[in-house]
Amino acid sequence: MGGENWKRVIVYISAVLVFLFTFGPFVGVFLASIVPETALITRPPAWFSKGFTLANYRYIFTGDIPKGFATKGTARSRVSQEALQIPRTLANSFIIAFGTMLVNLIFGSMAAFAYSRLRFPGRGETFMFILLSRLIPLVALAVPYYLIIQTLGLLDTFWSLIMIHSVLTLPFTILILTVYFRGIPEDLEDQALVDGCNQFQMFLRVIIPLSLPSLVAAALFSFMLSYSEFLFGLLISSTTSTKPISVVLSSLSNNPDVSISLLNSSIIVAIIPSIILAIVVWRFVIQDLILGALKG
Amino acid sequence: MFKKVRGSSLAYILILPAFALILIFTLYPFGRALWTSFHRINPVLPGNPFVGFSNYTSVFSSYYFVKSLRNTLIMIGFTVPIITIMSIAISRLLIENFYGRGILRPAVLIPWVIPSAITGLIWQWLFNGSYGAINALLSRMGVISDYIPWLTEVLTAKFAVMVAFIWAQLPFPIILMLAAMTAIPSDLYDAAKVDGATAFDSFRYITWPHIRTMAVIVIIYETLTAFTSYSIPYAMTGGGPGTATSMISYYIWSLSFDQLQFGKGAALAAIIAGLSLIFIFAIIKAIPSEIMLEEE
Repeated sequence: MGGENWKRVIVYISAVLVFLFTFGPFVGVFLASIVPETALITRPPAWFSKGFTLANYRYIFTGDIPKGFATKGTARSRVSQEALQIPRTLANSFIIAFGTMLVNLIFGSMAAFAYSRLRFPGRGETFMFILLSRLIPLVALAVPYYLIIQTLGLLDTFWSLIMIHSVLTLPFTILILTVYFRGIPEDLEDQALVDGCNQFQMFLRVIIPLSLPSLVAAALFSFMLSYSEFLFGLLISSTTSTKPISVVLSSLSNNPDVSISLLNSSIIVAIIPSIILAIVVWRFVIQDLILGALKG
Repeated sequence: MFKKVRGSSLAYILILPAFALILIFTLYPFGRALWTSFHRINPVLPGNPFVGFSNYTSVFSSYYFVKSLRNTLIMIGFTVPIITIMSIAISRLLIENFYGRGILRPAVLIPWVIPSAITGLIWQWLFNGSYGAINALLSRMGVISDYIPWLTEVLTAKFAVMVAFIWAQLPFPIILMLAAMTAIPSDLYDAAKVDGATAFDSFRYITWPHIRTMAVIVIIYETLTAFTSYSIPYAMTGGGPGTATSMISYYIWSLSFDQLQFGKGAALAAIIAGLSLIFIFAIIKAIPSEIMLEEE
Protein backbone atom coordinates (compact mmCIF):
# COMPACT_ATOMS: atom_id res chain seq x y z
CA MET A 1 0.00 0.00 0.00
CA GLY A 2 2.96 2.30 0.71
CA GLY A 3 3.94 2.06 -2.96
CA GLU A 4 0.51 3.27 -4.06
CA ASN A 5 0.68 6.28 -1.75
CA TRP A 6 4.10 7.25 -3.02
CA LYS A 7 2.74 7.00 -6.53
CA ARG A 8 -0.10 9.41 -5.68
CA VAL A 9 2.41 11.90 -4.28
CA ILE A 10 4.60 11.71 -7.38
CA VAL A 11 1.56 12.06 -9.66
CA TYR A 12 0.34 15.21 -7.89
CA ILE A 13 3.77 16.81 -7.65
CA SER A 14 4.45 16.28 -11.34
CA ALA A 15 0.94 17.47 -12.25
CA VAL A 16 1.59 20.73 -10.42
CA LEU A 17 5.01 21.14 -12.08
CA VAL A 18 3.60 20.50 -15.56
CA PHE A 19 0.78 22.96 -14.92
CA LEU A 20 3.21 25.65 -13.71
CA PHE A 21 5.42 25.21 -16.76
CA THR A 22 2.65 25.29 -19.39
CA PHE A 23 0.27 27.73 -17.75
CA GLY A 24 2.58 29.83 -15.53
CA PRO A 25 3.68 32.16 -18.35
CA PHE A 26 0.05 33.12 -19.01
CA VAL A 27 -0.50 33.92 -15.35
CA GLY A 28 2.57 36.18 -15.43
CA VAL A 29 1.45 37.95 -18.59
CA PHE A 30 -2.07 38.42 -17.22
CA LEU A 31 -0.85 39.84 -13.88
CA ALA A 32 1.49 42.22 -15.67
CA SER A 33 -1.42 43.44 -17.79
CA ILE A 34 -3.51 44.53 -14.81
CA VAL A 35 -0.92 46.19 -12.55
CA PRO A 36 0.34 49.74 -13.14
CA GLU A 37 3.59 50.17 -15.04
CA THR A 38 5.34 51.61 -11.97
CA ALA A 39 4.78 48.39 -10.02
CA LEU A 40 6.42 46.34 -12.79
CA ILE A 41 9.68 48.22 -13.10
CA THR A 42 10.51 48.93 -9.45
CA ARG A 43 13.31 46.99 -7.78
CA PRO A 44 12.99 45.00 -5.64
CA PRO A 45 9.82 43.88 -7.42
CA ALA A 46 6.57 45.05 -5.85
CA TRP A 47 3.95 43.90 -8.33
CA PHE A 48 1.05 43.95 -5.91
CA SER A 49 1.79 47.19 -4.09
CA LYS A 50 -0.03 49.61 -6.38
CA GLY A 51 -3.41 47.97 -6.88
CA PHE A 52 -4.96 46.69 -10.09
CA THR A 53 -6.29 48.45 -13.16
CA LEU A 54 -8.01 47.58 -16.41
CA ALA A 55 -6.93 50.89 -17.98
CA ASN A 56 -4.84 49.22 -20.69
CA TYR A 57 -7.71 47.07 -21.86
CA ARG A 58 -9.97 50.10 -21.89
CA TYR A 59 -7.41 51.95 -23.99
CA ILE A 60 -7.15 49.14 -26.55
CA PHE A 61 -10.89 49.01 -27.10
CA THR A 62 -12.00 52.62 -26.55
CA GLY A 63 -8.90 54.80 -26.96
CA ASP A 64 -9.22 56.28 -23.43
CA ILE A 65 -5.66 57.08 -22.43
CA PRO A 66 -4.65 55.35 -19.13
CA LYS A 67 -4.21 57.60 -16.07
CA GLY A 68 -0.62 56.42 -15.50
CA PHE A 69 0.26 58.17 -18.76
CA ALA A 70 0.27 61.49 -16.89
CA THR A 71 2.86 60.34 -14.32
CA LYS A 72 6.20 62.12 -14.69
CA GLY A 73 9.51 60.37 -15.33
CA THR A 74 10.47 56.95 -16.69
CA ALA A 75 7.76 55.16 -14.76
CA ARG A 76 4.91 56.71 -16.69
CA SER A 77 2.78 54.52 -18.90
CA ARG A 78 3.66 54.90 -22.52
CA VAL A 79 0.86 54.48 -25.03
CA SER A 80 0.86 54.26 -28.79
CA GLN A 81 -1.90 54.69 -31.33
CA GLU A 82 -0.63 51.42 -32.77
CA ALA A 83 -2.36 49.54 -29.94
CA LEU A 84 -5.67 50.88 -31.24
CA GLN A 85 -5.20 48.69 -34.32
CA ILE A 86 -5.82 45.61 -32.19
CA PRO A 87 -9.63 45.33 -32.39
CA ARG A 88 -9.58 45.87 -36.17
CA THR A 89 -6.74 43.40 -36.83
CA LEU A 90 -8.30 40.87 -34.48
CA ALA A 91 -11.35 41.01 -36.75
CA ASN A 92 -9.07 40.64 -39.80
CA SER A 93 -7.50 37.52 -38.31
CA PHE A 94 -10.96 36.06 -37.75
CA ILE A 95 -12.09 36.83 -41.32
CA ILE A 96 -8.96 35.21 -42.78
CA ALA A 97 -9.14 32.19 -40.48
CA PHE A 98 -12.85 31.74 -41.18
CA GLY A 99 -12.30 31.95 -44.95
CA THR A 100 -9.48 29.40 -44.72
CA MET A 101 -11.75 27.13 -42.72
CA LEU A 102 -14.53 27.30 -45.36
CA VAL A 103 -12.11 26.57 -48.22
CA ASN A 104 -10.76 23.60 -46.26
CA LEU A 105 -14.22 22.21 -45.54
CA ILE A 106 -15.52 22.53 -49.11
CA PHE A 107 -12.48 21.70 -51.25
CA GLY A 108 -11.05 19.37 -48.65
CA SER A 109 -14.14 17.19 -48.29
CA MET A 110 -14.60 17.06 -52.07
CA ALA A 111 -11.06 15.82 -52.60
CA ALA A 112 -11.22 13.46 -49.63
CA PHE A 113 -14.42 11.91 -51.01
CA ALA A 114 -12.67 11.24 -54.31
CA TYR A 115 -9.62 9.73 -52.62
CA SER A 116 -11.62 7.55 -50.24
CA ARG A 117 -14.32 6.26 -52.61
CA LEU A 118 -13.36 6.56 -56.27
CA ARG A 119 -10.74 4.75 -58.34
CA PHE A 120 -8.98 6.80 -60.97
CA PRO A 121 -5.59 6.94 -62.71
CA GLY A 122 -3.12 9.09 -60.76
CA ARG A 123 -4.93 8.62 -57.45
CA GLY A 124 -1.91 7.50 -55.41
CA GLU A 125 0.48 9.94 -57.09
CA THR A 126 -1.66 13.05 -56.61
CA PHE A 127 -2.40 12.09 -52.99
CA MET A 128 1.30 11.65 -52.27
CA PHE A 129 2.05 14.98 -53.96
CA ILE A 130 -0.53 16.79 -51.83
CA LEU A 131 0.88 15.31 -48.61
CA LEU A 132 4.52 15.97 -49.46
CA SER A 133 3.91 19.53 -50.65
CA ARG A 134 3.56 20.62 -47.05
CA LEU A 135 7.03 19.49 -46.09
CA ILE A 136 8.92 22.21 -47.98
CA PRO A 137 10.23 24.81 -45.51
CA LEU A 138 7.97 27.86 -45.48
CA VAL A 139 10.66 30.48 -45.51
CA ALA A 140 11.96 29.04 -48.79
CA LEU A 141 8.57 29.78 -50.37
CA ALA A 142 8.24 33.36 -49.18
CA VAL A 143 9.60 35.17 -52.24
CA PRO A 144 7.82 33.04 -54.89
CA TYR A 145 4.53 33.30 -52.97
CA TYR A 146 4.92 37.04 -52.87
CA LEU A 147 5.52 37.10 -56.64
CA ILE A 148 2.45 34.94 -57.36
CA ILE A 149 0.24 37.19 -55.24
CA GLN A 150 1.73 40.28 -56.86
CA THR A 151 1.11 38.88 -60.36
CA LEU A 152 -2.49 38.12 -59.45
CA GLY A 153 -2.85 41.70 -58.20
CA LEU A 154 -3.92 40.45 -54.78
CA LEU A 155 -1.38 42.13 -52.50
CA ASP A 156 -2.96 43.43 -49.30
CA THR A 157 -6.22 41.49 -49.74
CA PHE A 158 -7.97 38.90 -47.60
CA TRP A 159 -8.15 36.60 -50.64
CA SER A 160 -4.39 36.26 -50.88
CA LEU A 161 -3.96 35.22 -47.25
CA ILE A 162 -6.96 32.88 -47.39
CA MET A 163 -5.44 31.29 -50.50
CA ILE A 164 -1.97 30.86 -48.96
CA HIS A 165 -3.31 29.58 -45.65
CA SER A 166 -5.51 27.11 -47.54
CA VAL A 167 -2.51 25.78 -49.45
CA LEU A 168 -0.77 25.25 -46.11
CA THR A 169 -3.73 23.56 -44.40
CA LEU A 170 -5.47 21.58 -47.19
CA PRO A 171 -2.97 18.67 -47.22
CA PHE A 172 -3.65 17.98 -43.56
CA THR A 173 -7.43 18.37 -43.99
CA ILE A 174 -7.46 16.02 -46.97
CA LEU A 175 -5.40 13.46 -45.05
CA ILE A 176 -7.64 13.31 -41.97
CA LEU A 177 -10.90 13.44 -43.95
CA THR A 178 -9.74 10.69 -46.34
CA VAL A 179 -8.77 8.42 -43.46
CA TYR A 180 -12.12 9.10 -41.77
CA PHE A 181 -14.33 8.76 -44.88
CA ARG A 182 -12.71 5.41 -45.58
CA GLY A 183 -13.96 4.17 -42.23
CA ILE A 184 -17.64 4.76 -43.14
CA PRO A 185 -19.35 1.47 -44.11
CA GLU A 186 -20.11 1.38 -47.83
CA ASP A 187 -23.39 -0.55 -47.33
CA LEU A 188 -24.95 2.71 -46.18
CA GLU A 189 -24.04 4.35 -49.47
CA ASP A 190 -25.25 1.43 -51.55
CA GLN A 191 -28.52 1.61 -49.66
CA ALA A 192 -28.83 5.32 -50.47
CA LEU A 193 -28.12 4.65 -54.15
CA VAL A 194 -30.74 1.90 -54.23
CA ASP A 195 -33.19 4.36 -52.70
CA GLY A 196 -32.69 6.60 -55.72
CA CYS A 197 -30.10 9.11 -54.56
CA ASN A 198 -27.45 10.16 -57.04
CA GLN A 199 -23.82 10.21 -55.95
CA PHE A 200 -23.86 13.87 -55.03
CA GLN A 201 -27.01 13.51 -52.90
CA MET A 202 -25.48 10.44 -51.30
CA PHE A 203 -22.36 12.47 -50.43
CA LEU A 204 -24.46 15.22 -48.84
CA ARG A 205 -26.93 12.98 -47.00
CA VAL A 206 -24.78 10.05 -45.94
CA ILE A 207 -21.09 10.90 -45.86
CA ILE A 208 -21.27 14.46 -44.52
CA PRO A 209 -23.57 13.79 -41.52
CA LEU A 210 -21.65 10.63 -40.57
CA SER A 211 -18.27 12.33 -40.65
CA LEU A 212 -19.26 15.41 -38.67
CA PRO A 213 -16.59 14.90 -35.95
CA SER A 214 -13.76 14.78 -38.47
CA LEU A 215 -15.15 17.81 -40.28
CA VAL A 216 -15.18 19.72 -36.99
CA ALA A 217 -11.59 18.62 -36.44
CA ALA A 218 -10.48 19.78 -39.88
CA ALA A 219 -12.32 23.06 -39.45
CA LEU A 220 -10.72 23.82 -36.09
CA PHE A 221 -7.21 22.86 -37.16
CA SER A 222 -7.34 25.01 -40.27
CA PHE A 223 -8.78 27.92 -38.31
CA MET A 224 -6.07 27.59 -35.70
CA LEU A 225 -3.20 27.39 -38.19
CA SER A 226 -4.47 30.39 -40.07
CA TYR A 227 -4.96 32.41 -36.90
CA SER A 228 -1.38 31.67 -35.80
CA GLU A 229 0.33 32.34 -39.12
CA PHE A 230 2.69 35.28 -39.12
CA LEU A 231 5.23 35.15 -41.97
CA PHE A 232 2.86 35.63 -44.92
CA GLY A 233 0.72 38.12 -43.03
CA LEU A 234 3.85 40.22 -42.67
CA LEU A 235 4.77 39.87 -46.36
CA ILE A 236 1.39 40.32 -48.01
CA SER A 237 -0.46 42.80 -45.79
CA SER A 238 0.76 46.37 -45.67
CA THR A 239 -2.28 48.20 -44.23
CA THR A 240 -4.52 47.70 -41.21
CA SER A 241 -7.41 46.82 -43.51
CA THR A 242 -6.01 43.28 -43.94
CA LYS A 243 -3.19 42.92 -41.39
CA PRO A 244 -3.57 39.94 -39.04
CA ILE A 245 -3.14 40.54 -35.31
CA SER A 246 0.10 38.54 -35.04
CA VAL A 247 1.83 41.10 -37.27
CA VAL A 248 0.56 44.07 -35.23
CA LEU A 249 1.69 42.50 -31.96
CA SER A 250 5.16 41.90 -33.26
CA SER A 251 5.47 45.52 -34.33
CA LEU A 252 4.05 46.69 -30.97
CA SER A 253 6.84 44.83 -29.23
CA ASN A 254 9.43 46.84 -31.15
CA ASN A 255 7.65 50.13 -30.48
CA PRO A 256 9.40 52.09 -27.69
CA ASP A 257 6.16 53.99 -27.02
CA VAL A 258 4.41 50.87 -25.82
CA SER A 259 4.64 50.14 -22.09
CA ILE A 260 5.19 46.65 -20.71
CA SER A 261 1.72 46.48 -19.26
CA LEU A 262 0.12 47.68 -22.49
CA LEU A 263 2.05 45.06 -24.49
CA ASN A 264 0.99 42.37 -22.04
CA SER A 265 -2.66 43.47 -22.27
CA SER A 266 -2.39 43.26 -26.07
CA ILE A 267 -0.94 39.75 -25.81
CA ILE A 268 -3.85 38.67 -23.59
CA VAL A 269 -6.42 40.09 -26.03
CA ALA A 270 -4.72 38.27 -28.90
CA ILE A 271 -4.44 34.88 -27.19
CA ILE A 272 -7.89 34.64 -25.59
CA PRO A 273 -9.37 33.25 -28.84
CA SER A 274 -6.47 30.76 -28.98
CA ILE A 275 -7.09 29.59 -25.43
CA ILE A 276 -10.82 29.12 -26.06
CA LEU A 277 -9.90 27.25 -29.22
CA ALA A 278 -7.51 24.96 -27.31
CA ILE A 279 -10.27 23.98 -24.91
CA VAL A 280 -12.72 23.35 -27.77
CA VAL A 281 -10.09 21.39 -29.72
CA TRP A 282 -9.42 19.24 -26.69
CA ARG A 283 -13.06 18.65 -25.83
CA PHE A 284 -14.42 17.89 -29.29
CA VAL A 285 -11.45 16.79 -31.31
CA ILE A 286 -8.78 15.05 -29.33
CA GLN A 287 -10.87 13.56 -26.57
CA ASP A 288 -13.59 12.20 -28.86
CA LEU A 289 -11.93 11.74 -32.19
CA ILE A 290 -8.35 10.67 -31.58
CA LEU A 291 -8.38 9.06 -28.15
CA GLY A 292 -12.00 7.84 -28.46
CA ALA A 293 -11.52 6.27 -31.88
CA LEU A 294 -8.42 4.40 -30.74
CA LYS A 295 -10.12 3.08 -27.63
CA GLY A 296 -13.30 2.03 -29.41
CA MET B 1 -15.88 -2.11 -53.33
CA PHE B 2 -17.83 0.66 -54.91
CA LYS B 3 -17.51 0.33 -58.67
CA LYS B 4 -20.51 2.17 -60.13
CA VAL B 5 -18.39 5.12 -61.24
CA ARG B 6 -18.96 6.76 -64.57
CA GLY B 7 -15.37 7.02 -65.74
CA SER B 8 -12.95 9.07 -63.69
CA SER B 9 -14.28 12.49 -64.55
CA LEU B 10 -16.20 12.91 -61.29
CA ALA B 11 -13.04 12.19 -59.32
CA TYR B 12 -11.04 14.75 -61.27
CA ILE B 13 -13.70 17.41 -60.82
CA LEU B 14 -13.73 16.73 -57.08
CA ILE B 15 -9.98 16.92 -56.56
CA LEU B 16 -9.40 19.76 -59.03
CA PRO B 17 -9.85 22.84 -56.79
CA ALA B 18 -7.64 21.58 -53.96
CA PHE B 19 -5.08 19.95 -56.24
CA ALA B 20 -4.77 22.91 -58.60
CA LEU B 21 -4.29 25.33 -55.72
CA ILE B 22 -1.58 23.19 -54.14
CA LEU B 23 0.07 22.52 -57.51
CA ILE B 24 0.34 26.21 -58.39
CA PHE B 25 1.68 27.10 -54.97
CA THR B 26 4.21 24.25 -54.95
CA LEU B 27 5.60 23.75 -58.44
CA TYR B 28 6.00 27.42 -59.36
CA PRO B 29 7.70 28.43 -56.08
CA PHE B 30 9.93 25.39 -56.31
CA GLY B 31 10.99 26.14 -59.88
CA ARG B 32 11.27 29.84 -59.22
CA ALA B 33 13.46 29.36 -56.15
CA LEU B 34 15.69 26.96 -58.05
CA TRP B 35 16.05 29.41 -60.97
CA THR B 36 16.78 32.30 -58.61
CA SER B 37 19.49 30.33 -56.85
CA PHE B 38 21.52 30.13 -60.09
CA HIS B 39 21.20 33.82 -60.95
CA ARG B 40 22.33 37.08 -59.46
CA ILE B 41 19.16 38.92 -58.47
CA ASN B 42 19.81 42.34 -57.07
CA PRO B 43 17.39 45.24 -57.37
CA VAL B 44 20.27 47.71 -57.42
CA LEU B 45 22.27 46.03 -60.20
CA PRO B 46 20.87 45.69 -63.75
CA GLY B 47 20.09 42.32 -65.34
CA ASN B 48 19.85 38.87 -63.79
CA PRO B 49 22.95 37.11 -65.10
CA PHE B 50 23.40 33.36 -64.75
CA VAL B 51 26.07 32.76 -62.14
CA GLY B 52 26.19 28.97 -61.86
CA PHE B 53 26.89 27.66 -58.39
CA SER B 54 28.51 30.82 -57.10
CA ASN B 55 25.52 31.66 -54.86
CA TYR B 56 25.85 28.20 -53.32
CA THR B 57 29.59 28.41 -52.79
CA SER B 58 29.42 31.88 -51.29
CA VAL B 59 26.67 30.78 -48.87
CA PHE B 60 28.61 27.69 -47.87
CA SER B 61 31.78 29.62 -47.23
CA SER B 62 30.16 32.51 -45.33
CA TYR B 63 30.95 32.88 -41.66
CA TYR B 64 27.30 33.41 -40.81
CA PHE B 65 26.22 30.16 -42.50
CA VAL B 66 28.65 28.06 -40.48
CA LYS B 67 27.74 29.90 -37.29
CA SER B 68 23.96 29.70 -37.70
CA LEU B 69 24.07 26.08 -38.85
CA ARG B 70 26.07 25.26 -35.74
CA ASN B 71 23.56 27.12 -33.53
CA THR B 72 20.67 25.29 -35.18
CA LEU B 73 22.31 21.89 -34.72
CA ILE B 74 23.06 22.65 -31.05
CA MET B 75 19.43 23.69 -30.61
CA ILE B 76 18.26 20.41 -32.21
CA GLY B 77 20.72 18.39 -30.13
CA PHE B 78 19.37 19.74 -26.86
CA THR B 79 15.68 20.36 -27.48
CA VAL B 80 14.65 17.29 -29.49
CA PRO B 81 15.70 14.67 -26.90
CA ILE B 82 14.23 16.79 -24.09
CA ILE B 83 10.92 17.27 -25.94
CA THR B 84 10.71 13.56 -26.72
CA ILE B 85 11.41 12.44 -23.15
CA MET B 86 9.15 15.11 -21.61
CA SER B 87 6.29 14.24 -23.96
CA ILE B 88 6.52 10.57 -22.97
CA ALA B 89 6.64 11.45 -19.26
CA ILE B 90 3.77 13.96 -19.42
CA SER B 91 1.56 11.63 -21.50
CA ARG B 92 2.26 8.89 -18.97
CA LEU B 93 1.09 11.32 -16.29
CA LEU B 94 -2.02 12.35 -18.23
CA ILE B 95 -3.34 8.80 -18.56
CA GLU B 96 -3.29 8.45 -14.77
CA ASN B 97 -6.53 9.18 -12.94
CA PHE B 98 -6.06 12.15 -10.67
CA TYR B 99 -8.04 15.09 -9.37
CA GLY B 100 -7.60 18.01 -11.79
CA ARG B 101 -6.78 15.93 -14.85
CA GLY B 102 -9.72 17.55 -16.65
CA ILE B 103 -7.98 20.91 -16.27
CA LEU B 104 -4.41 19.78 -16.93
CA ARG B 105 -5.19 17.99 -20.20
CA PRO B 106 -6.47 21.05 -22.09
CA ALA B 107 -3.92 23.26 -20.28
CA VAL B 108 -0.93 21.43 -21.75
CA LEU B 109 -2.42 21.99 -25.18
CA ILE B 110 -2.61 25.79 -24.96
CA PRO B 111 0.99 26.69 -25.93
CA TRP B 112 0.34 24.89 -29.23
CA VAL B 113 -2.35 27.34 -30.32
CA ILE B 114 -0.42 30.47 -29.41
CA PRO B 115 0.96 32.10 -32.58
CA SER B 116 4.74 31.58 -32.50
CA ALA B 117 5.44 35.29 -32.93
CA ILE B 118 3.46 35.87 -29.72
CA THR B 119 5.20 32.97 -27.96
CA GLY B 120 8.46 34.80 -28.66
CA LEU B 121 7.04 38.03 -27.19
CA ILE B 122 5.81 36.32 -24.02
CA TRP B 123 9.15 34.68 -23.33
CA GLN B 124 11.09 37.78 -24.27
CA TRP B 125 9.31 39.61 -21.47
CA LEU B 126 9.52 36.70 -18.99
CA PHE B 127 13.29 36.52 -19.47
CA ASN B 128 13.83 40.29 -19.71
CA GLY B 129 16.98 41.33 -17.85
CA SER B 130 15.67 44.49 -16.19
CA TYR B 131 11.94 43.97 -15.55
CA GLY B 132 11.14 40.39 -16.58
CA ALA B 133 8.87 38.14 -14.52
CA ILE B 134 11.48 35.42 -14.02
CA ASN B 135 13.99 37.86 -12.49
CA ALA B 136 11.24 39.40 -10.36
CA LEU B 137 10.11 35.99 -9.12
CA LEU B 138 13.63 34.68 -8.42
CA SER B 139 14.65 37.80 -6.54
CA ARG B 140 11.39 37.81 -4.59
CA MET B 141 12.07 34.21 -3.54
CA GLY B 142 15.59 35.20 -2.55
CA VAL B 143 17.26 32.87 -5.07
CA ILE B 144 19.17 35.71 -6.75
CA SER B 145 20.22 39.09 -5.42
CA ASP B 146 21.13 40.68 -8.75
CA TYR B 147 18.97 40.41 -11.86
CA ILE B 148 20.31 37.99 -14.48
CA PRO B 149 20.68 39.47 -18.00
CA TRP B 150 19.20 36.31 -19.54
CA LEU B 151 18.88 37.47 -23.13
CA THR B 152 22.13 39.38 -23.45
CA GLU B 153 24.64 36.74 -22.27
CA VAL B 154 25.62 34.01 -24.73
CA LEU B 155 24.88 30.93 -22.60
CA THR B 156 21.73 32.19 -20.86
CA ALA B 157 20.32 33.50 -24.17
CA LYS B 158 20.75 30.05 -25.74
CA PHE B 159 19.12 28.54 -22.66
CA ALA B 160 16.18 30.97 -22.72
CA VAL B 161 15.50 30.38 -26.41
CA MET B 162 15.54 26.62 -25.88
CA VAL B 163 13.12 26.84 -22.95
CA ALA B 164 10.67 28.86 -25.06
CA PHE B 165 11.03 26.46 -28.00
CA ILE B 166 10.41 23.41 -25.80
CA TRP B 167 7.38 25.13 -24.23
CA ALA B 168 5.87 25.84 -27.64
CA GLN B 169 6.68 22.45 -29.17
CA LEU B 170 5.63 20.10 -26.35
CA PRO B 171 1.84 19.91 -26.90
CA PHE B 172 1.82 18.19 -30.30
CA PRO B 173 4.14 15.30 -29.28
CA ILE B 174 2.08 14.94 -26.09
CA ILE B 175 -1.07 14.43 -28.18
CA LEU B 176 0.69 11.87 -30.38
CA MET B 177 2.10 9.99 -27.39
CA LEU B 178 -1.20 10.13 -25.54
CA ALA B 179 -2.96 8.65 -28.58
CA ALA B 180 -0.36 5.87 -28.77
CA MET B 181 -0.59 5.11 -25.04
CA THR B 182 -4.40 5.16 -25.00
CA ALA B 183 -4.39 2.50 -27.70
CA ILE B 184 -2.54 0.00 -25.49
CA PRO B 185 -5.01 -2.63 -24.17
CA SER B 186 -5.20 -2.27 -20.39
CA ASP B 187 -5.36 -6.04 -19.76
CA LEU B 188 -1.69 -6.18 -20.72
CA TYR B 189 -0.87 -4.08 -17.65
CA ASP B 190 -3.23 -6.12 -15.45
CA ALA B 191 -1.56 -9.33 -16.56
CA ALA B 192 1.88 -7.85 -15.89
CA LYS B 193 0.77 -6.83 -12.40
CA VAL B 194 -0.42 -10.34 -11.65
CA ASP B 195 2.99 -11.61 -12.77
CA GLY B 196 4.61 -9.22 -10.26
CA ALA B 197 6.13 -6.80 -12.78
CA THR B 198 7.49 -3.49 -11.46
CA ALA B 199 6.41 -0.13 -12.91
CA PHE B 200 9.70 -0.01 -14.76
CA ASP B 201 9.15 -3.51 -16.22
CA SER B 202 5.70 -2.65 -17.52
CA PHE B 203 7.02 0.51 -19.13
CA ARG B 204 9.98 -1.31 -20.66
CA TYR B 205 8.09 -4.36 -21.96
CA ILE B 206 4.54 -3.07 -22.59
CA THR B 207 4.45 0.72 -23.03
CA TRP B 208 7.71 1.24 -24.90
CA PRO B 209 7.14 -1.29 -27.73
CA HIS B 210 3.74 0.36 -28.38
CA ILE B 211 5.03 3.93 -28.50
CA ARG B 212 8.36 3.28 -30.22
CA THR B 213 7.10 4.16 -33.71
CA MET B 214 5.48 7.31 -32.38
CA ALA B 215 8.72 8.28 -30.62
CA VAL B 216 10.56 8.02 -33.94
CA ILE B 217 7.92 10.18 -35.63
CA VAL B 218 8.19 12.74 -32.83
CA ILE B 219 11.98 12.86 -33.07
CA ILE B 220 11.96 13.35 -36.84
CA TYR B 221 9.09 15.83 -36.81
CA GLU B 222 10.68 17.93 -34.07
CA THR B 223 14.05 17.85 -35.80
CA LEU B 224 12.44 19.13 -38.98
CA THR B 225 10.56 21.82 -37.07
CA ALA B 226 13.63 22.96 -35.16
CA PHE B 227 15.57 23.02 -38.42
CA THR B 228 13.13 25.26 -40.29
CA SER B 229 11.71 27.53 -37.58
CA TYR B 230 13.20 30.74 -36.36
CA SER B 231 10.37 32.99 -35.19
CA ILE B 232 10.80 32.32 -31.47
CA PRO B 233 14.55 33.10 -31.26
CA TYR B 234 14.07 36.02 -33.62
CA ALA B 235 11.32 37.58 -31.48
CA MET B 236 13.25 36.96 -28.25
CA THR B 237 16.82 37.96 -29.06
CA GLY B 238 16.92 39.04 -32.70
CA GLY B 239 19.60 36.34 -33.09
CA GLY B 240 21.91 37.88 -30.49
CA PRO B 241 23.89 38.55 -28.47
CA GLY B 242 26.23 38.66 -31.47
CA THR B 243 25.24 35.54 -33.38
CA ALA B 244 24.62 33.34 -30.32
CA THR B 245 20.99 32.51 -31.18
CA SER B 246 20.97 33.07 -34.97
CA MET B 247 19.20 30.22 -36.73
CA ILE B 248 19.86 28.93 -40.22
CA SER B 249 16.29 29.56 -41.50
CA TYR B 250 16.40 33.16 -40.39
CA TYR B 251 19.52 33.57 -42.51
CA ILE B 252 17.35 32.98 -45.64
CA TRP B 253 15.05 35.78 -44.53
CA SER B 254 17.89 38.12 -43.74
CA LEU B 255 19.72 37.43 -47.03
CA SER B 256 16.56 37.90 -49.10
CA PHE B 257 14.73 40.70 -47.36
CA ASP B 258 17.36 42.63 -45.39
CA GLN B 259 20.28 42.37 -47.80
CA LEU B 260 18.13 41.90 -50.95
CA GLN B 261 20.47 39.14 -52.15
CA PHE B 262 17.64 36.97 -53.45
CA GLY B 263 19.99 34.61 -55.32
CA LYS B 264 21.93 33.70 -52.20
CA GLY B 265 18.72 33.50 -50.17
CA ALA B 266 17.29 31.04 -52.68
CA ALA B 267 20.51 29.03 -52.74
CA LEU B 268 20.39 28.71 -48.97
CA ALA B 269 16.69 27.77 -49.17
CA ALA B 270 17.59 25.03 -51.65
CA ILE B 271 20.30 23.78 -49.30
CA ILE B 272 17.84 23.71 -46.41
CA ALA B 273 15.16 22.06 -48.57
CA GLY B 274 17.70 19.39 -49.58
CA LEU B 275 18.56 18.69 -45.96
CA SER B 276 14.85 18.66 -45.04
CA LEU B 277 14.21 16.13 -47.80
CA ILE B 278 16.44 13.71 -45.93
CA PHE B 279 14.21 14.16 -42.86
CA ILE B 280 11.10 13.81 -45.04
CA PHE B 281 12.18 10.41 -46.37
CA ALA B 282 12.93 9.34 -42.84
CA ILE B 283 9.40 10.40 -41.82
CA ILE B 284 7.84 8.37 -44.63
CA LYS B 285 9.86 5.34 -43.59
CA ALA B 286 8.69 5.71 -39.98
CA ILE B 287 4.98 6.48 -40.55
CA PRO B 288 2.73 3.46 -39.98
CA SER B 289 1.73 2.16 -43.41
CA GLU B 290 -2.04 2.39 -42.78
CA ILE B 291 -1.88 6.19 -42.92
CA MET B 292 -0.72 6.13 -46.52
CA LEU B 293 -3.19 5.04 -49.19
CA GLU B 294 -2.98 1.36 -49.83
CA GLU B 295 -2.88 0.57 -53.57
CA GLU B 296 -4.52 -2.64 -54.58
